[in-house]
Amino acid sequence: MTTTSSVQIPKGAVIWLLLATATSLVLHASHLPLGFWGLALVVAGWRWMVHLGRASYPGKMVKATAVVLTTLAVIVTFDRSISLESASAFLIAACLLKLLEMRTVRDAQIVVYMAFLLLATGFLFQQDIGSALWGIVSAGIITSAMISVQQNPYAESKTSMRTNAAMASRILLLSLPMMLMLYFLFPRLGPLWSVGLQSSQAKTGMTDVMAPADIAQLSQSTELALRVSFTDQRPARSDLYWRGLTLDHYDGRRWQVANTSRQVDWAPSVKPDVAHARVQSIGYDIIQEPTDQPWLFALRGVQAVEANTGRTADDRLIARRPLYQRQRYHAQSWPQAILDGAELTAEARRQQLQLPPQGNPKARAWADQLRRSFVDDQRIVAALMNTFAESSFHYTLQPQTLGQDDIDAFLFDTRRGFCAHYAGAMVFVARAAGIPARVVVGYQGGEWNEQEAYLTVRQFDAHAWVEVWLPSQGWLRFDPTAQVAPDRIEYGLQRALAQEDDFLREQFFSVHRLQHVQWLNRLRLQLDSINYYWHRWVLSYDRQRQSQLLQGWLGMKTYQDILYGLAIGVALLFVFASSWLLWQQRPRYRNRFFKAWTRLQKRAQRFGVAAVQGETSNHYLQRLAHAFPALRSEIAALNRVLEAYLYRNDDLNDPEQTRVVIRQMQALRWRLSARHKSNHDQPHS
Amino acid sequence: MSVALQSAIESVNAVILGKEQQVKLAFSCLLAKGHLLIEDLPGMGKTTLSHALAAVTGLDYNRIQFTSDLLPADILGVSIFEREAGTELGRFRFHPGPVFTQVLLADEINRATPKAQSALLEAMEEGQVTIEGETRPLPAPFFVIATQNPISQSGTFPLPESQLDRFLMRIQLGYPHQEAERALLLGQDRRDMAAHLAEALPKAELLRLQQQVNDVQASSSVIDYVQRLIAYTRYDGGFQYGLSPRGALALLRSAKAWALIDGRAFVLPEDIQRVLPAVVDHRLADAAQHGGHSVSQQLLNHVPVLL
Repeated sequence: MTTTSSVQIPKGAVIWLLLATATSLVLHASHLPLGFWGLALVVAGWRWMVHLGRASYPGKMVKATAVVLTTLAVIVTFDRSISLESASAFLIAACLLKLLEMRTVRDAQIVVYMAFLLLATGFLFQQDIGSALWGIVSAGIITSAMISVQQNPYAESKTSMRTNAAMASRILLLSLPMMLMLYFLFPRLGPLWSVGLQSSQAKTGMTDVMAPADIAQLSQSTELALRVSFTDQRPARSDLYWRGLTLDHYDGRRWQVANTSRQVDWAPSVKPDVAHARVQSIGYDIIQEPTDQPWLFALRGVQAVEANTGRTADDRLIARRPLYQRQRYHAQSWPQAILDGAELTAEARRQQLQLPPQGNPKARAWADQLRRSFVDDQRIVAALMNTFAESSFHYTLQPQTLGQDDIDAFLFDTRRGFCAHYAGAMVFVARAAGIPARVVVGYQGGEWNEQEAYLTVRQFDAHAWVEVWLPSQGWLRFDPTAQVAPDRIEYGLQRALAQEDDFLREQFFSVHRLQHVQWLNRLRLQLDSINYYWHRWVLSYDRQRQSQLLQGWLGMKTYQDILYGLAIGVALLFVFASSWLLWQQRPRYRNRFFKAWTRLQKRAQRFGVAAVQGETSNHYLQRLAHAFPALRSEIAALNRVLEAYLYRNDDLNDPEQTRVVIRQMQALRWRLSARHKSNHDQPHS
Repeated sequence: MSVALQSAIESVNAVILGKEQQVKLAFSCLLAKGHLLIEDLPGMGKTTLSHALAAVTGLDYNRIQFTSDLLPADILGVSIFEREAGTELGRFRFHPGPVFTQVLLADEINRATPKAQSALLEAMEEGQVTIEGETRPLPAPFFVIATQNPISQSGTFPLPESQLDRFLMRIQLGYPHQEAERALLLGQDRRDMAAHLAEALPKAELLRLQQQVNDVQASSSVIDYVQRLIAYTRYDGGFQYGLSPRGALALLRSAKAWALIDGRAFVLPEDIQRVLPAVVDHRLADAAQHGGHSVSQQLLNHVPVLL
């Protein structure tokens, strides 16, 4: 008998192993550079040729060269950076090269384990429900490969791929309870270290600098930004301003975040100042896609309630760490709250009035004019808003490029632009008129899924608006875009751009463009809600939700409790499995006769007459009669009956006869017990 | 049981003392239309037994002493050119060999060359002999009793398994026990007695009994038992090879003959167990590499009768 390490791989296993490696790579599709797919093809092709006998295994030199070259390729492709992508690409390259020296069962086992590892690392990049389903399929294929490796390479009859796959799915199905238990109970430890994603720069989303072109870029993206569900009633669509950032520094071209007064009131933060006690609050759950930034999104007047979130001085919600992963959080808002109602600090006031020393003279002049004619801050702001409503401003995602004094050009010449232009222009004029104001960027609106009652906010819902500080009223929201294009606020970007046919112009085939096709839209919403549930209930199950769940359902409070629970769960699984196995091995009788016969023998065995293997019934009954002389005649009668039943008449399938014989055996069994008892009671009789 | 059969067995037992089991097995073999291989040392009564069997059944009897220079023609017969008396003309005439008989004793069969052995074994299997293109049927019943000496095997050609399989049973006579031996020493010459036994089982009665063996019932429980035994030899017993379907048929047929001798019209597992060593051991002698227990003993000890 040879050891497994030197046994040849069974012929049928090679295709499974290649398939397993291929399926484990699929989840890496989004980040793996093209060259690595070429490598995969070459390596798999080579190994297949070896399998067919048309090529030989590569020599030492070839292997060494391949290792050096792929290592260099990883280094060069990823620009010498150590990121999740480069690390996983290196791992993938190593796994692929292993295929080239896969000769023995031991090698094949390594390939199988690596395929499992690759599959698992794939989930660092993809976590949606489709990927999860693919993970299940892939795990099945890898398990099949594992099974095929274990088969006897010299066996004449090969098991079919179908049998392998069936066995693999059975194994996976059997491991389901264990999987669920680990999912629910295994302590959710935070990462011990983390490596950033290379692709973070490429991520679409807000940045902390507003140049109008950025938002125009965002409006072309259908990527998911947030999903929101409301615990109480849902505010009107026109109130859904998801505040992300406030930009209060203007350098003449761009609006930026000023680095002043960024102190954070970590959860649970104080409730915002609410004028009337009866004002209702809005509670909501947000699942936010990773942004690699610490900003969270919330409605106005927010109170941080989730651990590790906080409320900044400018009424934003913020996380302690950047969101490298999708995160779910709860927040509470009082939209009617008065923010900074009493007085602005001098520093804040200076910041909110900051303007570059030069530029945009016309706008400044107009501000002066407004200040002179209306005096009161509130009326100046109202007049500003009016201007946007009444003058011939036009909402478009493709405005002309503006030159040096862009705000002047926008306000007095082109009058074509989108939210960023309007918000920027309004804040500029307000500040020039001496009113503290700031640009707020975030998302506005979103798509309400009526069926499942949640809101989907996508990147094209990105928006910028204005907040103005008025004495004793604090910061108030003004949205000049709403004056120009009310549809943008009431119905969303698509409606606002209906005439221009501008919506997602660059993504002609996007399903979002085809929202007027009824069934397609319904299908899209259905898929979206499935994904939503996946995010809400599966992916966002973190340490906190775990402890909530375990505390709520099982009363487990500490990790110790959880570990006990885990141990008990595993023990229960083992008990269940072993009792099932025992039950499987229970004696099975072809016929009720055999059951009765076995019971008679067992009873007799207790009284010292054990059945001997290979003994005929006649011989056995004679021994029994010898041991129980008092029952001699009964036993002899049974013997005669049995002989006729089993051998002369062959009545095994005759229910009537079987009943008679069984009754006789039962009677003898009882007599044996009774006899034995009486023997015991009078040992010297 | 047939009275004739009873008296035939009794008269053989009167000659071969203390060997009731072996005699009964020999009769089972005869009734089951099989051939018998007796393996024992010289002088244990092999020849006497065959003589006695021939005598009580009133059948023709021939004996061939197998030697290493025995040729097939010495067994089967030969065509010889015979001149017509007084003329130049003549023709070939077939002189039947000793095989054309009803009871044939092939003494020390393993002394002959395989060529000669196979000439006999073919005749045994097919019940006919083909010489020079002409097929000649052998008389019915045709019953071969072969003997071989298990020790001093030098210069012998042991029968290969395929040929051992042609023998329905192999039995060993063994030493007689003390009383039997004493009676033997005190009694008259056994060969004489065997030669002068009265015919107790006429040929017609023998053929009828052979026919009757077919009618003995084997219930499903018995067939199950037989199948378990076969399966054990093939898969579970750790033998190199298992019992062939011919071996399985032989086992059942022998058991039926045994049951018939016991006067039963149905087979009991005991019948199987009695004939099992004689039927199975020589077929699986090489397959089993176990010292001590014979194959049949292992089967009897391990295969459940009722399951």
